[in-house]
Amino acid sequence: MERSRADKILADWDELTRTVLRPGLPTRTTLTTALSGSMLAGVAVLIIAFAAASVWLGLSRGTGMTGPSVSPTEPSPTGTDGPTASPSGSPTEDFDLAGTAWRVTTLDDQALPAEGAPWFDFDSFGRPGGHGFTGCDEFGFGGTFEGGKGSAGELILSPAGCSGPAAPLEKLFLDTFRVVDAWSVDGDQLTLFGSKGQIVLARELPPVGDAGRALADTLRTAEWQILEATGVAGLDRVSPVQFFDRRLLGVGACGYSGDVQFGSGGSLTISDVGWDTSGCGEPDGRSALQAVLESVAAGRSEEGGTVRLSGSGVDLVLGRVWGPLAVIPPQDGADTARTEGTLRITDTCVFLEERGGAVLLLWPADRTTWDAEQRTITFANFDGTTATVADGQPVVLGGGGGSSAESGVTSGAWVAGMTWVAPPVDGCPLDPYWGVGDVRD
Amino acid sequence: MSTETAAASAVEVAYERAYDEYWHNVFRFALAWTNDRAAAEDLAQESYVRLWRNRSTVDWDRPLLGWLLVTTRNLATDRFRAIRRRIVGAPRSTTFTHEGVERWLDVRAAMGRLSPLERAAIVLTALEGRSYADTAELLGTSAGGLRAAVSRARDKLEGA
Repeated sequence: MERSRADKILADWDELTRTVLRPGLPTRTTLTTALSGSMLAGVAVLIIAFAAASVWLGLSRGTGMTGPSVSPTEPSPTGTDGPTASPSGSPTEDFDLAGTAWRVTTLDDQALPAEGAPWFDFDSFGRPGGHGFTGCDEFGFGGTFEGGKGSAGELILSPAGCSGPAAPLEKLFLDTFRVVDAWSVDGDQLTLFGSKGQIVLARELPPVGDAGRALADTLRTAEWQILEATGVAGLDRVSPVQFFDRRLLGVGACGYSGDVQFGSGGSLTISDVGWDTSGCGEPDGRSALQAVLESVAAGRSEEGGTVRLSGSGVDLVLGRVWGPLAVIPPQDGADTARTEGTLRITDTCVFLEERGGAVLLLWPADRTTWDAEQRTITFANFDGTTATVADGQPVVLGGGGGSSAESGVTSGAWVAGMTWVAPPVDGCPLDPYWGVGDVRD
Repeated sequence: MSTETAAASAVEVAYERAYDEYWHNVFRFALAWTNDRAAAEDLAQESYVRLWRNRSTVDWDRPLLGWLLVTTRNLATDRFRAIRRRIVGAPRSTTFTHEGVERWLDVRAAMGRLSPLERAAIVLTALEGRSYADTAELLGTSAGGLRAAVSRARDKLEGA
């Protein structure tokens, strides 16, 4: 019987990965010898050998698995005598450090000038670890920082080595950082506690109230689609982008990353943009887009929820990724009526199940945030409270609605007549509809 | 030989056995996920680094392949890390024959039509012979999600 095209490709894949493509085993003697000695030095040797020396980003948390009864996470090798001044019951334990960046301001009770002070950032997506710069060398760490307890885990240094005036500072920082076992956040200040003392760090963002901080906070709240970029076509094929304190990350196939520096007054620089081409070939226009990204110098929010980044002769417009939400421009005072039911979030629609019927929900752009990873909607109520809701959750919604039965306008006509930030897709229930003005879970 | 020395020696033997037995499985899984040979080598190597680093807590009497594959998947799905590696770049030592390169480029292009999950799903079930339940757990998806991924993968390969 003739094999199918799929079977032929799989057979070729199988054969090639067993024969011509098969790499030799790494030298086991080298591996085990290196790792049997000083763990730091050993791993550093390997990291150098694998040509990934300058970056160490931690292992993600393991999921359910068969096999050995240990999850694939980093051990906590610090073995300290406990913190010297652990915070207890800190209200900051829930602070999400993922993607945040910090620079040391005080080390061993000595205030450090910002220039040349050690800094590091935590990995995005809450994975343990991060990487940074000691003021002399790059370093990585694989530990965890959750619930007020912290561990830098294993430290990996770049191979450069440190000498001269920066060496004592690097040693003091690393010695102190290595035995951290608790942390707290107060505003823009992060304090790390350990048996060798405290490290106080400041957030690597402009201060609250500055236009640059507002820009950073806005960009950090959502995924963004690049809607316009000067001279770049095919933007619908470019992955959405997420911003963190010092980095941007294009999420998805043909992803990309870059370094970001938010400055005062809304200034912004993007540098070192790189593309992950594995599995997707060469994205169209990536050089042009990279040039635009690396040319922007400032950003500002625009009416309708978009953000415009501008530079010399270039503009780049970002629109929030709204997922399945139908989104409308900002509305005033839309919390006068009430309805309740079960929230339903599908791949393409968000609606309310109410007495067996489906009511399309319209979300105002300025107060709604869609979390694509968690598939939740966070809504800012006018009274200052926020509600985060998910599929299947009972909700009470303020706002106002309509239906074709009441208005005599067909669903197609009212959809066509509305101004949309993100219209409902074909196939979503359109009649009746409800403009959300308040959310209570 | 002291008890501690004997235990350490036993771990080294078990670790080397894990290398001999599973290295290629780990590499192939990483290759299925990334469709990129260089990245797959890095991922496989790093998974073994993690295994060694966790040697004091690993139960060496239980099968290690699941542990290694979950670790590899976690490393592979850390997009940020993968991207940074691309920026840094990595020298390669393996050389191919001309024919091998051309065949691989063709196969890689076809497999490139699949998502990482689809590639891993069809390789693990169709080539590695793993069960759907086992593969679904390994890939962090449901049995239904896995079947759908395998189905989509086949459809895409048929059209490649």
